[in-house]
Amino acid sequence: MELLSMLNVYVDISTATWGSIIFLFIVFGVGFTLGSFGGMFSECSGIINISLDGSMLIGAFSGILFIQQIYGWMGENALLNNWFFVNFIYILGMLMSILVGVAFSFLLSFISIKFKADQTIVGTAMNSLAAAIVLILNTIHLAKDEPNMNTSMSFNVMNYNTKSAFFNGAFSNINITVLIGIILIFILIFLINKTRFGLRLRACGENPAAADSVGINVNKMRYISTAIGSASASIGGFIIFSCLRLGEWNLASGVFGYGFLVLAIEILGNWKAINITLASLFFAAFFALSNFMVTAFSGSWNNPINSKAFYNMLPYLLAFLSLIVFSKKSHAPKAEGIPYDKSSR
Amino acid sequence: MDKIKNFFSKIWKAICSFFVNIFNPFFVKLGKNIWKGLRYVCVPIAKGVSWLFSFGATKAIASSVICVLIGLLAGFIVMLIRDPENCFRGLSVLITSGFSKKSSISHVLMNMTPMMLAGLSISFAFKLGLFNIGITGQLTMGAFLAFIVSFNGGNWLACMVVALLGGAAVGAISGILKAKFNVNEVLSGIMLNWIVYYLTSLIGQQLPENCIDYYNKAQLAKMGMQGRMPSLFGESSTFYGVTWGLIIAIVICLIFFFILKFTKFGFEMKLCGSNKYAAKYAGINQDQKIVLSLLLSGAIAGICGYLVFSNPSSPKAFTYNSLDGVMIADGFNGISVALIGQTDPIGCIFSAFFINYITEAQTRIVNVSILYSKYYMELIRAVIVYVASLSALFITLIRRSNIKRKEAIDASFKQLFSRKAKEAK
Repeated sequence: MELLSMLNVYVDISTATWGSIIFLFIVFGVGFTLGSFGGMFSECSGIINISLDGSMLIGAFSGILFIQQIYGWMGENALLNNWFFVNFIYILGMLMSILVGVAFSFLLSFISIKFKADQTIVGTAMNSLAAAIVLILNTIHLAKDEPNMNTSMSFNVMNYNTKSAFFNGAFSNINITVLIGIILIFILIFLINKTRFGLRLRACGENPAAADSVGINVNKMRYISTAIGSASASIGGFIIFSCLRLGEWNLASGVFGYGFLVLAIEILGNWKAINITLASLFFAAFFALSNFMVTAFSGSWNNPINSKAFYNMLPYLLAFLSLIVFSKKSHAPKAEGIPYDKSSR
Repeated sequence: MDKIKNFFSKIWKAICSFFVNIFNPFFVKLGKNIWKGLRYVCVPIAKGVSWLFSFGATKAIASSVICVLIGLLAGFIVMLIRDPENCFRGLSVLITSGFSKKSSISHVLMNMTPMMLAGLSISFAFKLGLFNIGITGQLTMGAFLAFIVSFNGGNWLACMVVALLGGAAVGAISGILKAKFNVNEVLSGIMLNWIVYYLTSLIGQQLPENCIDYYNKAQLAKMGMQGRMPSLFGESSTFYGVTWGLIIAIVICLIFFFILKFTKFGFEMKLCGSNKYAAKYAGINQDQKIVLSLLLSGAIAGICGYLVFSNPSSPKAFTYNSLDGVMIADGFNGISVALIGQTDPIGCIFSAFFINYITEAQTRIVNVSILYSKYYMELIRAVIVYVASLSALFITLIRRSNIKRKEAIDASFKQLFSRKAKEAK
């Protein structure tokens, strides 16, 4: 409350700015939750997934590229002013990112289940693999339009601007995928907590030998859960990057480290769906606040209390302190990172 | 006509068969003799190779080489798909451009210096089973403190020591959290990365004006000339960018190789990593080892952070407030260096060299064909690391095939060289 009263001294908070805070909160919240669910699903089944960064990047890229291609193909068609059609394109883009995310997940699950490779190494490799693939595809995609350009920085940049006003005013940037994402969060929470599939999935992570003895195909469960996780993370990336509408997105900087933040949220949330949701909402609130602070205090950034860095640091600092408090309760899935070997049962 | 043709062909055949009958036994004999002579050369070579592959190091090197070849193959395939006409030229540029010019050699040596230490930092923590993802924070802290010391007139040694201490302090925080509070080191590392990043930008804003870059207010000024690393070959040579930092980095790698291989401390470290129950049973203080390994790893990362910025020829300014929120990338490069080098201190030297050697091609590959891009190097690196996860599998495959062939080779070796066999003849 002190913080808010302090704000009132400096700026006149209009409804639009409150709207932008809430908008950022919703987008980041949904994106982070889905992203960290990606890690949760694969780690609860016993596969460490460090490649969330890659999943988010490749999901966001493929979805947005798909939308862009359709826009380029349609040209100046009258259908693009149709509200339903624009949102339909967005849903198609989301499906595309799901497809790519699932395909991407098999790079991890196949090599770590079939060949029993070190999952941390594979995940690290896949992050850089995704970055490389995205950059190379982007050069191919841009070179079509501008064949004369050779090696300038604009190769790194992906331009997109689309019209899909779902609400008016401050929320005009929210598209239908955010609403689908909110529904998806509830579905995923229900899936892992309340269904038979979720129980089996968690059993594979805790004690795969016991799960196998009652007739669950451990490796199949792991394939499925990694696919679900990667798809969820790529939807998260797609939602964040399609809604923020950065105008141009420098692909060389990837997803700004959100993929690793999501990993941290997942561990902070103790591998439990509801805790993870709360943790990511916590981070999203501070992200929204820090982005708001930049616009509000652009004049007096030299003051440490007003600077962007301070508000960006706050969520990490608080999470860091909360780690020490809650660390005793933290317990990872027991079979995490250990490839299942039937003969060791 | 046909009769004449048949006649001549018969004569030709007769002549041919005559010469063949004369020379054939000669060639057969010659072949047999050559084979007999060659056996005395080939079998010992095969024996030597199989003896070499009985060592762990050779297997590790061989598996690394396999990974690298697969990575290059992936790069070649991408080039083949994009532009089939120029693919072989592209491949040759990829392989040779690191040594094509003097300047590129110096560039490779310059860039591999900090990268080697980043790889060492990651691989040292890997020995204890810790994934030190917080290397970026440690590196940033070291570099930032070194900058501040250099602005106050410290020489290069003072800068390096301060960078070491700064990195070690950040590393020790995650170590203590892991040992005392059981906090996952990946989590605390990621958190510390961002905390250090924003902390440096907070402090950077408060610094006096002479520390801040004149043109770009979001950067610190360039490092003071005193604080930079002295050049190894003097100021006038092409190798101006190669500093004493290269020697220091190699010496640090050798020291850590020695520690891990020959000392009690290193043995306990590796034991904790490979089997923590055995370590506990042997009475090894695990908490202490965890804190020490992350502390040392952070110290190496701090030196690495200093070396990134201390180069006299290409002075980078420390960006304390970049808008994208992108941190220093060298930390994450260290992960791939460590993995290609099989998490071995000596391997890190070569893998850092190799990665920079390949990366050197990125400016020249664009000239080969307009369809190629410089990001192929990143793809190759990623594929190499991806395949390197299978290195354990490669090593077992190599061992198995070696064991299979070893008996046959040994038998023929005995047959050739043992006295009894000769006497029996």
